Amino acid sequence: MKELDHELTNALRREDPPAGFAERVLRRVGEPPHAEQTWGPPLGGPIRLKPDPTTVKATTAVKAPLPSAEMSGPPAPARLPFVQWAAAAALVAAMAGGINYVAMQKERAEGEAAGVRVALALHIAGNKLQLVQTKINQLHEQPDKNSNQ
Amino acid sequence: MGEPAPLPVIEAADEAPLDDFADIVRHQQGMVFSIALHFLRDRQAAEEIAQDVFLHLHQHLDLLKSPEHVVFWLRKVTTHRCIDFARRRKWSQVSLDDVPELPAATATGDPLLQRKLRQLVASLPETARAVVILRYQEDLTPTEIAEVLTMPVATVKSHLQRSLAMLREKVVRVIGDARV
Repeated sequence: MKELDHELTNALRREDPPAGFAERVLRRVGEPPHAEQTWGPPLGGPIRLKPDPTTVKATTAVKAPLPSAEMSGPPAPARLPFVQWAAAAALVAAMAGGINYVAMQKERAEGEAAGVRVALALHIAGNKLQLVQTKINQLHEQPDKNSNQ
Repeated sequence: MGEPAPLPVIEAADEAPLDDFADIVRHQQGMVFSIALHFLRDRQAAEEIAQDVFLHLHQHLDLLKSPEHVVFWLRKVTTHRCIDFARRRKWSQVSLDDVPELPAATATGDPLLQRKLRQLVASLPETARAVVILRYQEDLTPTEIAEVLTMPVATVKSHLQRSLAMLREKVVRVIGDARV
């Protein structure tokens, strides 16, 4: 266990950031906050810089609540429209599919009802024809009986 | 580099000019960058997060009352940002085997084992990863980690035990138990 602790300590020891890191941070501190208006900060809440960071003290910094564990997502403003469009497209497609499905179901039901009606009509017509055939047969048989008598 | 570098003393909340901020950046950049680097295994993302953390610190410097408070704040904000960042990019997560290995920063120990350990630590769930990094990079106690991550001490200890057991098992499976 001690050996694993030791190896973890070695594996996770601190490393220096790339050269010029501090200078880049200080340069960003001095930059005008134009990026906030278009994209917002890459990570975390909005950054509001002091008017003149070389002279103004920290008391003039904009008061904002300390960041909590739940921080707002950074690239969200850039990704959000795409996500919204994708969600809207999916919703429209689902609605169109639903409408199409309902129309097909209705058409199929009407077709089946029409089929039932045709079958009923054919059945009735068949019965009538059978009845007529029976009558004709009876008429043919009666003259034969009369002539025999 | 293992021990936190001493901070310039901030006299009072309203006495924090940019020079002091620059000193804080220079003294604490290794800590902030390394937390992000070990968490994300991505130097570019780590630098971006570290820069944002310091920019955020610049806004809130007047609220921080002591150098210890500054260090605590930096650890807390960096860790939470890393957790958020890792959760957001999960959908595009690449295999750990595809991630380029960080340049070896250690002159002692077993480089192969340490490389594998960094890979395995990066594969832990976000909260457990943060616990392990704060424990072994920052040498914090479970109580201090619990304060940084705003969670019960028992939960921190549980994360540590489970993570170490998992790391040991995987290391033994991959490398053998001769060295752990």
